[in-house]
Amino acid sequence: MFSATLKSIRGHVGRTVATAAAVILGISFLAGTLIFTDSVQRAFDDLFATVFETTDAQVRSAETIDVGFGLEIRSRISQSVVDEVAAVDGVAAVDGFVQGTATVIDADGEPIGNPGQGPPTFGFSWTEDDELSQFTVADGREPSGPGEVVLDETTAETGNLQVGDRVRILTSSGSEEFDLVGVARFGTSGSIGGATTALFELGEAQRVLAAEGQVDAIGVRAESGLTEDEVVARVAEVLADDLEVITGTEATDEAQSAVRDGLSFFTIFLTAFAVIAIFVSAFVIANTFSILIAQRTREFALFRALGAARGQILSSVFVEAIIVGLAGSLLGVGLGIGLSFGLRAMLEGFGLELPSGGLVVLPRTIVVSLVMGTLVTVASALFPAIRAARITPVEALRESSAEAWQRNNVRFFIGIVIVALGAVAILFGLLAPEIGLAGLGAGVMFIGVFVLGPTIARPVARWLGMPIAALRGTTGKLARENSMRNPKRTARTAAALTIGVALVAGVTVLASSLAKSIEDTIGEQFVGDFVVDSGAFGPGGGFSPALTAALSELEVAEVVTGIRVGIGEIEGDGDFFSVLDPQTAFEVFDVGVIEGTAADLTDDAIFLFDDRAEDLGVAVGDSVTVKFPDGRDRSLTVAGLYTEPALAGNQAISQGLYESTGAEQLDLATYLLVADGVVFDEARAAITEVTDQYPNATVQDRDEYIETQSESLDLILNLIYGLLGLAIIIAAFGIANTLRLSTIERTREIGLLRAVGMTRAQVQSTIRWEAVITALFGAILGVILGLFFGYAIIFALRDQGVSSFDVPIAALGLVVVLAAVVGLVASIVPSIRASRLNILEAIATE
Amino acid sequence: MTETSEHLPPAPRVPAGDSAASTIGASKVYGMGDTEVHALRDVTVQFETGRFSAIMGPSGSGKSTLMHCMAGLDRLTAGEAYIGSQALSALSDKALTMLRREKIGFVFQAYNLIPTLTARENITLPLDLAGSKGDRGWVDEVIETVSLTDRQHHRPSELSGGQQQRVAVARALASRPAIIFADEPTGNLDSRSGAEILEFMRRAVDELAQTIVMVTHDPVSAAYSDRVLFLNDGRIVHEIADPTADSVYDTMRALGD
Ligand SMILES: Nc1ncnc2c1ncn2[C@@H]1O[C@H](COP(=O)(O)OP(=O)(O)OP(=O)(O)O)[C@@H](O)[C@H]1O
Ligand SMILES: [Mg+2]
Repeated sequence: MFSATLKSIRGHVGRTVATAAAVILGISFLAGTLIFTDSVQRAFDDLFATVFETTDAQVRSAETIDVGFGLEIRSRISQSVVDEVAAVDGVAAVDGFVQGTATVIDADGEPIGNPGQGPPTFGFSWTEDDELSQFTVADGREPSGPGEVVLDETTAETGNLQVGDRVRILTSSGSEEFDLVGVARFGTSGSIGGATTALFELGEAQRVLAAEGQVDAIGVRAESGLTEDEVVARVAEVLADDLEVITGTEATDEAQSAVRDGLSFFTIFLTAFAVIAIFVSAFVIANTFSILIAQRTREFALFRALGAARGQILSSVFVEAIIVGLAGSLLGVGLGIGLSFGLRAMLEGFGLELPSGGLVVLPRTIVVSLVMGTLVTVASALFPAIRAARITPVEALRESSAEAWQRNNVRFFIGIVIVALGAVAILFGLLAPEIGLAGLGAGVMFIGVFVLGPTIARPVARWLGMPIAALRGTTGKLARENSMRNPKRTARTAAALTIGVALVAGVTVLASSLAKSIEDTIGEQFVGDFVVDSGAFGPGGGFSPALTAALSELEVAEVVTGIRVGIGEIEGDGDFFSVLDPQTAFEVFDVGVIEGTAADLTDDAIFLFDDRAEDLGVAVGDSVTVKFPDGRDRSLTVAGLYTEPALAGNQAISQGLYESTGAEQLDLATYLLVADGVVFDEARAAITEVTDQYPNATVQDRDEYIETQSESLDLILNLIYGLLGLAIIIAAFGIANTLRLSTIERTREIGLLRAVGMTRAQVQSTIRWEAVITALFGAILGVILGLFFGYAIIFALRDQGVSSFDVPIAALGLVVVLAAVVGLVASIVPSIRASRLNILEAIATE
Repeated sequence: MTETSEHLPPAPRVPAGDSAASTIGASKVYGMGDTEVHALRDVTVQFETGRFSAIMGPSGSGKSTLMHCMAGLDRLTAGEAYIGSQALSALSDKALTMLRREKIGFVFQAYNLIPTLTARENITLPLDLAGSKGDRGWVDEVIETVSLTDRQHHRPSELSGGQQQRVAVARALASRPAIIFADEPTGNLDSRSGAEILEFMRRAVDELAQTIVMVTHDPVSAAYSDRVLFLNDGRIVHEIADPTADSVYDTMRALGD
């Protein structure tokens, strides 16, 4: 039996390759993700290992605030500590280091880097001690005093800036021009993972980064002969309780694991898509095996007649599956190496520069890929194999080997039950929220559709084929009949596409609803006329409050208010804080304040979203404990409650309070209400004149602002579409596979058609339209599922200020059309093959 | 009867005006070297318009090959085949397809019909493929002639073998081709159904002036024709006109010796 299997594989190289194609593609995504993230991790590990090579110890504040997403803020420490540490016996050199946000303006006057979704824009102090310095000057010299800056090499190149140029840099203290005195490299890399870095002499850094008399950390180099631990022990003795000292090795580990945390979100994100791709592959493999086994019914029956036991048939199919799975996964790993470059290119396209290093293919990657690929292939072949084993010797004598179909109400019922179970799991998963359960539910729903599909494929294909038959005449009619003759096959082929389309449609519905919600929210809650926007969404971006102050001077503006985002802990929970100017903010924002008035938001008060207040168990008049980056616990009085968190978040505090914490002050946007009687064009001109100094600030009227805010999801949306593309490609392979096998089955029929006058073009057209009908069937089911997914998620988010469920008819229509195009493309090779068929051989086939 | 070619008309240099199909020096070789098979050897033959011809001969004698090459389904190794005065070797695949669609009708021994189309749709298939409405009245008449009027909306799987072959004959007639090639059209049928098919073909020739070339192994079937050609080892070895079952049978016996 085993040698028969091998012969069978060898005898049908074409179909084996076709089955393997699904495995290869599915596994390549998984392998590509692993290879890519391992390579990036290794490159970062190496980078930080060199960067901290000469640092023996690091002194810093023990106080941190963790808001999740790998965003951890540490308090600054007094500069006096630097001298204390320097005085410790055994310390050879110290370096007080300051870090903040700085946006570099390029030679064309445009800001470099996108604060909203790109890598960070850093402002650093330059480390005097060459050995401690993480940067090395590549051109020019180091910054040595006021008005001087050094940029990282990548930023200088992207910005077309040369040593000797004047360069404008925006920080929390304002917009200033500096002399570019040098260009530096970060270890072996041109930049810190694509971030822009502006380096100033320490005193200048403290001035522009608002860290007067403070440093963020102190690097320590020990005298030779002293171990890291020894110097750490000595330094620790002189430090106050709120400070800590770690070894250089620990600093390296921390930096490496910070990257690992950052990457892990990314790995999970990519792996989710890899799992989707493999899931789709499984459908394609299962379908291909089903067809193959149906076509080989006689062969198996003959084996049975010759005395092969059921078990032998079963194991022969499994052996074939294992061979296909192993070979496919191995090739998948190979393709994954290529794909890892593709992923890198795609992310670099999104503005993330990654340090380059060797390709890292860990044994783990190969093992995981082989095991996954083989398991999935074998599992997918399970049901077809069982069916093969059930074949009786008598079936060798049957006329047709094609799968027979009859109406099956039991199947319909089971399918509906599985779909319903999946739907319930999704709803529970989303509401819990337990994303894994929701994902599982989606998988179960797809399986339900796989079961259900065959019972509805015939009528749906008839209906879909109607216009095609009407428009395309005989070829259209034949295409329709072919798609209806074996509904099981049509449905299963379409199922793979259903998954891809459902996810695309779900994401589209979700994005469109979120965009609509954003539009509605801003439309309802923002009552101003103009917005000066930095494009940033959170800490680490924005423009200096000096710009807001300058705008306040304008006569055309009646109300001007800047909004910042702060970071802090409330009752021990890290979170973002809206930082407002109480005197003006409530004149342009209506966030549904139900208790308290603007005047109540004093510097020792806080306003809470009412649900948040409920969660915390506090009411107006109570106090809550809040900690900001300065590490001090503050007791704030709950002075007001509001009902709309979409813009204001969970809690709001005054600017005065946040300024007193020493945290970096950057306005994300400034909102204006134009004075009575002022023409808008005039107001815009006046505002633009002020913002000229701040190239990262764009002036928008209310409508423009609403539009750009709702477009903010487009980038991530495109990334998701791109990643789902592979699932669709696999589905296309599935369609091509089925068409190929079906046309082989219909060789005689095609020969007859050719004999009585069907041209090659007509043969192709018939197969093409069959593919289109199949694809449309899959796409329509997919859109229905996608609508459900989208609706379920929106429903789950209804308390988070997501209010609108929007069905983007045009976009979904486009998805369906694109799915039809996928069908068309998939049909190209099989249709050409079929049309090239030798008529006589076709007629002569037994 | 070993004297072969003197019974044949002298080979014409170009097909005569009333010839529906003809070959001049047709040879067909399959394979190469050791496996070389001469399926046709220098066959020159003419089928006149409005006549019903039968081709007989032992298995492997080249009957099907001759038909396929004359019908533009296969190409000759040497010589030329004509439909009317059109030489086939000059035609592209597309032109041959058009020629088959418009000028030639086919009836095969089995698997003549597209399972997903109804009887009527199968009958109008060549017309539909040409995108022409055809002559509805004519199609109805043909369907009537082969007694399929009440079964015309059934699928092949719902028809008996005899009915299926009648559909195939009707399809061949529907496009009013210059010539119909039928390769053992009754080979799979019982004698009664077979006789029906042969009656229809006879009537098509007599009443509609259709030209038919039929391959058969059965002397009784051959007797329906106007003329029987005998093939052996790729050559035309004999011919009889106005055959009866007995004369065909006798000829076969004589040739077999
Ligand atoms: N495609 C092919 N390749 C090789 N040889 C072939 C091919 N088709 C036919 N032949 C050979 O050509 C010869 C003639 O075959 P053909 O099918 O024309 O015979 P036939 O007279 O129709 O026989 P039958 O009565 O059995 O149908 C035979 O020897 C056959 O084996
Ligand atoms: Mg034959």
